[in-house]
Amino acid sequence: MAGFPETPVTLLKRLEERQGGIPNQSAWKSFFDLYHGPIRLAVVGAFRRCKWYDIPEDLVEEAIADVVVSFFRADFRYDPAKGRFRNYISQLAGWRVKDIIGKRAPGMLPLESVVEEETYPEPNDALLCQERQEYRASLLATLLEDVRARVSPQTFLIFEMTKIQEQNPEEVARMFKVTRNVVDNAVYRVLNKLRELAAQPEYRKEYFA
Amino acid sequence: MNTPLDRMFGADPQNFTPQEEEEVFRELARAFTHVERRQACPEHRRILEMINKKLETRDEN
Repeated sequence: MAGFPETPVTLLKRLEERQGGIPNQSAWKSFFDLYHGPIRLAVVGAFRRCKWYDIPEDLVEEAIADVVVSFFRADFRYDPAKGRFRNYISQLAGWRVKDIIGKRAPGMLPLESVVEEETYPEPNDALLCQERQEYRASLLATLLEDVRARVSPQTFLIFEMTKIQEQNPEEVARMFKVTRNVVDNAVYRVLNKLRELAAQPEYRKEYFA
Repeated sequence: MNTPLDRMFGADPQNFTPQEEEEVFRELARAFTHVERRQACPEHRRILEMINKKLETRDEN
């Protein structure tokens, strides 16, 4: 996974950066790497709310791509004051799916107009639980990437090998030519950093979504 | 706040027991593996290419 030192909100700020007029490619790729799952479920949910149940895979993929591209549109910027990032993704997915249905089968589009709400709507269909789990996985992966950028590469690698890949700590110590104590300290430092970052309001708000 | 993860995101200052620490690590490992598996699927690559094309088209316009 590409290193990505951002929380959901600062991650979006990086998406707004442009390099020579072109959107920051590493930023949107990292964003999509982390949030593909929640965006996919939001898109499928949006199709279902429009009574489209048997959706061709190419249409789902097109809608997912359109949602990611939407993050670059100034008029669709995420505003934390309007609600959670997870609900913002759902709203963008709803708009992009309606665009696609409007192009393919305009008569099948619900009559409600596509206007920006005062707040991002809370999803309430049957996919809610699955969406929540998928979003939580993305949030935890974002937190890990955030920590990765804030500790030394060796510290994170030792943590990753022992706690994510579940390798034997003694073997990891031998591999790095360090004592077992150094391995334990690396895990301790990463845990402290995880706790410090997770306690930030923007993480807390998204986790308890 | 029930689980160790809930406590972590809830800014609970109390230390974790070793078992709670392991539970946090297990949850993180599960999430990391899940997201990595998604990145490895062919759909992910196809959509990345599609996004790239759409962004290039936008920049040309």
